[in-house]
Amino acid sequence: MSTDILAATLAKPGKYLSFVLGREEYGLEILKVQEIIGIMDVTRVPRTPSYVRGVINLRGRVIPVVDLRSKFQMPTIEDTEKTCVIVVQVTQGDLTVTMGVIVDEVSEVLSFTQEQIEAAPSFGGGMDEAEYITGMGKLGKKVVILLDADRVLKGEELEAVAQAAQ
Amino acid sequence: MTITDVQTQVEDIAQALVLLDPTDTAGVVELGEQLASLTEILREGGRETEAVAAENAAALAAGCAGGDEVPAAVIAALSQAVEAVQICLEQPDPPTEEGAEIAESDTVTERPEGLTLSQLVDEDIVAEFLSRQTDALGDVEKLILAFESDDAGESMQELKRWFHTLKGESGLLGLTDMSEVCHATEDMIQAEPPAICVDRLLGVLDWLLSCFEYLEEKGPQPASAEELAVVLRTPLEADPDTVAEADAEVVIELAEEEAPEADVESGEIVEPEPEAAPVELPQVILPDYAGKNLLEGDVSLLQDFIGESHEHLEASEAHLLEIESDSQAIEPLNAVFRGFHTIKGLAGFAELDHIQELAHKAENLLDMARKGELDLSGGSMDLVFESVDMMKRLVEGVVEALASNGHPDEVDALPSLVARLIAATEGAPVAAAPAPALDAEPSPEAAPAKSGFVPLSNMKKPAAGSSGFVPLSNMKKAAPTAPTPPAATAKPAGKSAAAVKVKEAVRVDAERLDRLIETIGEMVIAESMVSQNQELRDGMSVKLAKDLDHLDKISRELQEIGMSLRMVPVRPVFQKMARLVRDLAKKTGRKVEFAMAGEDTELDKNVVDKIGDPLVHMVRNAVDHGLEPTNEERVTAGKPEAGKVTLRAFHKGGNICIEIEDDGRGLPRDKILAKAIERGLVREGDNLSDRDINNLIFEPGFSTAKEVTDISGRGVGMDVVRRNIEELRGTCEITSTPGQGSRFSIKLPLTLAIIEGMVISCGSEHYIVPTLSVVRLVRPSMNDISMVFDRGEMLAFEDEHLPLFRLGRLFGVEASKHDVEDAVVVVVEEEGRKMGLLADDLLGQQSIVIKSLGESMQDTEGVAGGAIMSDGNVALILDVAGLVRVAHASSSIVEPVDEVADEADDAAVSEMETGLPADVDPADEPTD
Repeated sequence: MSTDILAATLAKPGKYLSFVLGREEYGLEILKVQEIIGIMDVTRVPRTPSYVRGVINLRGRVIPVVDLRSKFQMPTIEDTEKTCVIVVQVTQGDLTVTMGVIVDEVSEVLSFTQEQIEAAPSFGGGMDEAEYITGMGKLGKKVVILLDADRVLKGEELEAVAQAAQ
Repeated sequence: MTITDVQTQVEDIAQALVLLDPTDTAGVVELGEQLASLTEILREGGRETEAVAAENAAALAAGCAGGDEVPAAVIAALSQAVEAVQICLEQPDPPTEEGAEIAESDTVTERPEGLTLSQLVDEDIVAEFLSRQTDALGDVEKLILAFESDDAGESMQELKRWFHTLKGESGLLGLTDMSEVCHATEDMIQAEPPAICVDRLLGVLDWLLSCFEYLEEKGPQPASAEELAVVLRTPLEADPDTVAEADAEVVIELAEEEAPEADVESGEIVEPEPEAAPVELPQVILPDYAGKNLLEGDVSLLQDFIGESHEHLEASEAHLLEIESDSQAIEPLNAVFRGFHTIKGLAGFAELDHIQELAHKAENLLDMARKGELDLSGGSMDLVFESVDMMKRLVEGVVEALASNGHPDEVDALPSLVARLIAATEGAPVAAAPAPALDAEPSPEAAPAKSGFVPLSNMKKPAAGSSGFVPLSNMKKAAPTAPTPPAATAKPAGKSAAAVKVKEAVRVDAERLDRLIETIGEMVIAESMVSQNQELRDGMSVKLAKDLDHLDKISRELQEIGMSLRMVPVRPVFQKMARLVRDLAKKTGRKVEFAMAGEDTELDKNVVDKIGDPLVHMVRNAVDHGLEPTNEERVTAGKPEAGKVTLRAFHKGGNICIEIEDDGRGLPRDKILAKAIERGLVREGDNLSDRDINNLIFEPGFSTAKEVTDISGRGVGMDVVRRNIEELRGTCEITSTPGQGSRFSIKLPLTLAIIEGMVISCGSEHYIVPTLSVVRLVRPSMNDISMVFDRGEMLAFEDEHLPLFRLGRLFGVEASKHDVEDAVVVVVEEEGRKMGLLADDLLGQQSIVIKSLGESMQDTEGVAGGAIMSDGNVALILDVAGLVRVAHASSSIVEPVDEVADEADDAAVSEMETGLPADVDPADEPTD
């Protein structure tokens, strides 16, 4: 993914929900987040990519959940009591789709001004995940990796899901 | 200034024009000033044609200064000019000459010769026009030929549209000859019984081709258009007096600004001379059918109208069929009359003048029949049926208009139908009735209807005719493209009157209903979660248990009510079939008796909506293929002359069954088999059951018909039937007795939202298998299971061998029972093919509310959806057909062998291993 595209989608200033994945903190635009729920039993769906943990019952609605660790090719760990599902609404084409993302821990809501957001550094080839990053939020010494929920949960990836399923 | 700005300005002017008071001369002058400034803007923008039109209009308006009253004709001309500018602006490419043309017809004297291109026309446009139309000729020819074999409205409408467009375009290019011929053709199409004019249409086509060639300088000058037009016009019984009168009126009104026109060609043809001037009008205001914008009116009123008129039309159709079978019946006739009357009234409230007009005319006819002045049979009966159809189409048009831009499409056949209705009533005392209809304030799209009460010959330019002499007071109603509410909210009285009407039922938005049902479903789940809560159960008092039971009962009841809300009787669909049978019988010249039973059986609305298509195919098949081709053949076979087709619906074991039965020849087993062998679907010598053979007709493209008729024979129908029924999660079975008839039985679930499912477990996961596809549950013994090449397992089931798949393996789930004898096999059937699914355990059977897995997972193979179980977890609903594909994808790793050979091998092996006869039926094996 070239830097041009990253620059074009540089994170907007505003509020972000930060969460922990491994040792790093990541941020999702708060407007995309519908709610946060504790981890619950997930029904596996066969023949889906490994990062799709399965589906859950969100008050009568069945929504898919994606394991972010596995999505970012990080080692998976056992769920803990801090493990959460962030329910986000992402746009897929013309549709708004509700999905859950499983993260290690939800931390807080942070505000970033334009100055506090920096373009993501180039990681060179071999790291596809870099395309999900819209910028780096800086608060004091803390660096929060800001993610584009639409891209993480959509794009070619989920189309691939559909294709793989066929 | 952008185009949009200009458009807004033009729109403002158009609006002002519509609301203009005829006594307000100052207002007109002001408008003229606005037009003048518009002219400049247009000029600056390089839009010369529009500018010319605007300039002419401005001059026209300025000319009104000083007078007491603005002549209606001037206003009409002005609005046409403005409209033309609007249209031009909307279609930037190609830069049309319409605006200039309009202005020309209003003010300029010179007219191009018949087949000489207008000076104003750009060469590119001509080239584009010629190449496009020459190409289109081929399609049109096809259409005409289709028209010969099929007088259904579709091709006729298309044809008419094409000629209408060509008329407009050629008029635009100054090809008056061509436009006149198209015009005459158009008249002919709408005024004549179609069969008569096919030869002529082809003649017209040939002439057009020669014209195009001439224009491309490839051919000699074509024959005179006059002769052709005269020929085309001859069958039209023109009433010269009225024509002359009506045209004269227009001419007088327009005379002030119309210089005498030298319209050489068209003027002379058949029309009386005063015709000459207005002839140009239809050509230029062709896109007029945009009509008024329904969205500006009271939309809810329109929606009420749509719903109610549908009901009335359905009922009318049923009554008409009744009348047809018993012409003495008075009550159904009254009922139809009332239906039309109500629609007329409703249409009036909703300001749908064209529908009102049609209803009114049909009502007149029915009234005569009611009074015994007319025998409702044969032609007049057809006319009434046609009116019902037309009404449906018009209502459909309103629906579409509401869904899109608010402008109903012009229905070309309307004027001719109205004219014929009038003709049918004419001669009788009631015929005077058309007069009051004049008050019906024709809106532009109602214009064709209006021209219905001038003689046929004058109907050639419906739209132009009306905009030519619509009184000014009516112009307000018409409000061609005025985007303002004033025009639309003109009738508050009408609205309140409609609202007062007492209804027996409450119409509810389907979406809201769905949400209610969904919420009830959730509540039921929540309720069962609470009542099955272990903590609660541990310390349960008698009182609590009782209360919980009560709650359980209520929530169940609520769920049932919720479901019943969506239930509607299948009657409307059945009625359509009655109509279809009638039409088919007429068309094929057979006698067919149609009987219905159980039309009050209720089905989910979605199912009723979707069952129509397959039923149409099956009913067509029953009449066209099922019944003997001729009445005589039936008599020879010792059957009553009239063939019998029965359609019935009934409940059976939690499902709905719909059966279509005919007493015809039955399915030709030998022919089907021969065809199937020919197409390589089966092999000679294959041991096929009757059922297997019958099911072959569901194969795509399968047809034993020697000849493809317009009714059936292409082999598409039954494939559609099967697919649609599968979509509804139903099954279709055929039983047929040679010589005695065949019966198609469709089994459908009551609703699409809920299924009966068997809950099975596999490892830690729970899955649901739709009960409809479960044949049997088996606890297998090792003896029943045999291996094939170490890769495929087979289960001996009854006297068949079924492929056996382990669910755990398919889904990558660790099964908890490794010993096959402890596990259960669910024998499922899909499309007549059975297979075994090995799972750990059967947990029970229950009703399941189907939930989608969400867009991203919708296409997951083998999974039809999710269901929320009583513990709050999600269980996956298995899609048996998909599973078959999954299973094949995973087992085909070894070797992709020719399927039939493979199966033969399988059978051989199984025979060796098990000592059982290898009677594996290829049709029972899943195939890709």
